[in-house]
Amino acid sequence: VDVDVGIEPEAVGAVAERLDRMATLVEAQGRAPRLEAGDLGHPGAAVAATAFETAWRQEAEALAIDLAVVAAYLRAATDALVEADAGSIVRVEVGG
Amino acid sequence: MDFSPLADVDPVPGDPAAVHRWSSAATAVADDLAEARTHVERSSVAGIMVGLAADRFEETRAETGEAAGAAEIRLDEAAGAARRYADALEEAQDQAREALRRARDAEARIAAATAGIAAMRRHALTEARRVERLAAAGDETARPRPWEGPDHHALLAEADGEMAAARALLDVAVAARDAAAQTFTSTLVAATAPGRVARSLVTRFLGLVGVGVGGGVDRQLEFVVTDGGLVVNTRQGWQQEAYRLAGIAPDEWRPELGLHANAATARNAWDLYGELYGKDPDTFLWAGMAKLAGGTFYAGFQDLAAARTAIERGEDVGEVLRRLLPPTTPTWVVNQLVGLAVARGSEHVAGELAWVERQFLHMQRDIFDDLAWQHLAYREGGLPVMDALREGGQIHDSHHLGWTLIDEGRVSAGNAELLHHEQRHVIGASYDDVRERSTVTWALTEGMGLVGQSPVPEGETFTETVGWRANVSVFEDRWEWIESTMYPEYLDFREQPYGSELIAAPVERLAEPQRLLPWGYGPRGPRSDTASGTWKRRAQRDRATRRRRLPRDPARGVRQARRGRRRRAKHLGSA
Repeated sequence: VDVDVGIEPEAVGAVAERLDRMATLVEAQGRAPRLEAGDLGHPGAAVAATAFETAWRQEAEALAIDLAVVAAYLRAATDALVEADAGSIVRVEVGG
Repeated sequence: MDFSPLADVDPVPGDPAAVHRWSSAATAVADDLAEARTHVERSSVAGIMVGLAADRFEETRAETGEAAGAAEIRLDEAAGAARRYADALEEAQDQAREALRRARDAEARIAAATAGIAAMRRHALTEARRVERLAAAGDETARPRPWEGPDHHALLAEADGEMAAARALLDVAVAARDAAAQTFTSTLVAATAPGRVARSLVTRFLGLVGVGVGGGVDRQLEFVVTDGGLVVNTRQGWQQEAYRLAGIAPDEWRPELGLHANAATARNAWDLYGELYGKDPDTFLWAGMAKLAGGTFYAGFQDLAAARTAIERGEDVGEVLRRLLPPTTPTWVVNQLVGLAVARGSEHVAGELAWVERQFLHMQRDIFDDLAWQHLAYREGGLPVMDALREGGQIHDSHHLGWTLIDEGRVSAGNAELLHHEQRHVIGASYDDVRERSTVTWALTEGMGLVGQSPVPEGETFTETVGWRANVSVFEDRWEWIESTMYPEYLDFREQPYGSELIAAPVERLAEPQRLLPWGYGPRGPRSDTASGTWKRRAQRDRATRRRRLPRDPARGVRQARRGRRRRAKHLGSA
């Protein structure tokens, strides 16, 4: 049992913070690359670029959420160690 | 840019500098993703966390790292493609500009040559007139003076050639741009994986924490500390736990595929109820009864499927349906019900049986999804967790009332509340749909009532309790049976020495003696009548002492008769 056998809260907390930073970074990057209409000068290429950007933004958002949830899960595990008792409710802010 | 005389519009538009900037930005993001991947790879909790949750975390962490790595590769590929395209576009635009310069030069030379040709014509005309005048004056020796200027015809031909060369150069530029665009498009299409990674990751996270797919995640997650790890305190989070403990793959539980595809899952679901009861028999009374009922329903599911497949194989419809009714059924009732069904034809009957089979499988899943997880939540966290679930809108008020009663020690009443909610709100409308769907399905519900075996061994049948005019698919009739005899009998039965033993038995063993048809429902062949009658014989011995009947409502029979007449009139009228 995780919470009974032992967690090092500080170490887990550091991992969680690192993952949170990555989540924020990836979320921001999801909005970064953007081509304006006409930059490519070719309709087929423009359609492909738009599809790629859309998929990337979705992917970045999903990655950011996943990283944030992993971080939240770790933080919950850390808090659970403090709470210790089975059946305790632990509330965690996602994304730190 | 004005591209006359080559084209009306710029044939190679675009901004290579902007595409280069996009490429650089994508490369920077890819670099950041590489850093994220490295961080994720280094975020192992090995040594600082152990157990199931830690294992899941490690799996998910590895997949997240892989996803970041895959995104990094895709962005790198896109960045490279964009860079190559920008270079090709720039070169094509240079060529186009060179073509334009040459075309404009050729255009000027064409204009000059055309003017020169006109001058040559004027010179020739002037000379002809001069010679004509001299001849009229008697000078027969006069001749036109030759054109001494450049050969403008040759110059025009040369300029036309230059214009054609400029057009050809523009065509080359456009073709090079098109080829580069095609390469760029192909690369980006290959690098675009819409939703694929995100879906698989989210699916993994569902297994980890039970977070919903739609709409992202809430800002605040509420976990419950359990012996198996942390569970998100939502309906979905606990449902994941219920599926895991039952050994059920949610995606493979597909009632629409019929019993054969779902038999193992159905048995696992019922067996989980037995385990829940077995671990806390003084609390989880609903679970114990649901397990017992599982035996009856599993027998019914198998009979339905076996009847359908027998009819599909060409067995006589009337004969098959007769075997679904108990021998004690009055002949005229048998004839009427069977006659109604047979009149619709075997194909229709088989189709309706298949629909009912799927409907009951859906109802079983509806019950599991509604209540199994609540048992886990209460078991792990008690009433505070159920309070939090109600505050979060995850459970119905009647559920909360049931758990509150249980928590206060009024265990029987609390479980009855859960049972009532299940019968009325979870599957009530589905039962109504079965009865109302067609004459065949209505006749089937009538037949179910006539069979009406209680899940409690030797318990009162449906008709013994509420009379033969009632219909088990009607909530009021069904609930009267449950409340007045089945549930009290169950409460007594579970106190018997073999009560818990029977509830703990595999559901197929409970079902076996309750089968009506001697045929298998799938490829496993005919069933065998294994001896599971020990409990039955023991139950028979104690029947007299176990049965407890509540006082009957004198007006009940009148109400039932009215309801029954209305339903029969409807279906017989349409027969």
